[in-house]
Amino acid sequence: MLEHFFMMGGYAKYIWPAVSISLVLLALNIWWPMRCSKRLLQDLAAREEGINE
Amino acid sequence: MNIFIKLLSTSYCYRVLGRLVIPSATGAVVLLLLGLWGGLVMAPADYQQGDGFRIIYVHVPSAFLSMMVYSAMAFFAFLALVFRIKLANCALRASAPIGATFAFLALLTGSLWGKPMWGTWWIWDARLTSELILLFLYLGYMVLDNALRQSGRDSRASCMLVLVGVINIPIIHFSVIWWNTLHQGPSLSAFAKPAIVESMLWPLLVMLGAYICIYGLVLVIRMRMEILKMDMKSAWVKGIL
Amino acid sequence: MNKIHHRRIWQLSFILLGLALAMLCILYGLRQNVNLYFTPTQLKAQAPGIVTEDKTIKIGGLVARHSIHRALGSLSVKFFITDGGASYPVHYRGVLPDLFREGQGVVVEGHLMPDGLFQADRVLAKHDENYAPPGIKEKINRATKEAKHAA
Repeated sequence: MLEHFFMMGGYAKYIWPAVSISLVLLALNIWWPMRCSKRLLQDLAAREEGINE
Repeated sequence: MNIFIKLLSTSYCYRVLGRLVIPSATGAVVLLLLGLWGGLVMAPADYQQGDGFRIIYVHVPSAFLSMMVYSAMAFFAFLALVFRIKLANCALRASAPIGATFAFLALLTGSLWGKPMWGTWWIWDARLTSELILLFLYLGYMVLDNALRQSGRDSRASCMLVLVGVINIPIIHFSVIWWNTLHQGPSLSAFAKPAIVESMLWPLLVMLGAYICIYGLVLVIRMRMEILKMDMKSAWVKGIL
Repeated sequence: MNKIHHRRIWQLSFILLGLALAMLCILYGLRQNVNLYFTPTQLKAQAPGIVTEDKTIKIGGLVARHSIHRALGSLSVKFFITDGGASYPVHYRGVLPDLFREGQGVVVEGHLMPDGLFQADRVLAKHDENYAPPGIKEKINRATKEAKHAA
């Protein structure tokens, strides 16, 4: 039953790459700016401390 | 009018956008799971294409969003050029990478669909070519905007590029009607009854909603980052650190 | 909205309108080149001398019913491509796409021989924008046919 689902009627080699690449690229598009903003905030905070000292 | 004026203040905008992160992320995850389950499991196989048609559930949302995001960018570019709203520039910059991703995914999933059904990965017909031009417009904007920013000039030229490129959007949409192409006509249209049965349609609409949430989420995260970069030295940024 | 904003909007609209008009002219001039294929009727209408053997062209149409002949033991296939008006015999050797069948829209790429046979290098299937499970599609087809009969 589950095997039948993953076979996708013989179109598995087209459908699964299409779905997985879509999900991976979209996830990267969310993860990357989150990481960047976190770093930016850290940098700004560090700079602020440097000035205050 | 009061709320608009408030939204124009960067610190207020930064806070409001922060409140949108959780709802849009939740919407994206829930709709994505529901749409994928509906499209890959619940929807019946197509009478012509069998299970191969299921690529539609990742292809059409990408293609639709690639055009929607560009239209939004044209609107932001208009606001930035005419009213010199700095936040519009932030939104413009924040939209480009995710828009380019949608255009790329539309081409890639279309290619993976075309190979088994049409018999080719790629053909230079009007629809595929105009979508490729859209991807180049996104990339061109990103490169130009980056170059302008690094040389410290204002972003009028890159906004102009976005506005000029908006001519491509109706061309993409109507290409399958104006010219003969290998690509089929639109299945979803604002004016006609959808050419797709209900059991196959609802997962597609749910996936469309999921992709819109993803765009919203990326826009919010990136806009907040752009606002921080812009106001780095202001008192309110120092306040939140 | 003050005077400056108005002026900027006018300038922008002027530039964009000009560009849109230019684009329209280009696309109008190129309209035949943007089309992917000729229909059989369009090709028949062209003076026969213009389409020569050494020119690669594409024809788009339907695979005529009961016209597919496969040669036994090879990948060679012959069929007629039609748009209801004109039709051309097509010869092709190679793997056909999954959707290739009678009545299906196809685009064939190749050369038109002097004897009128189209020697295809590539056969691409075209599908329509309708999606439905097998049973329902037949019901819809029957319903539209009945509606046509009634009308």
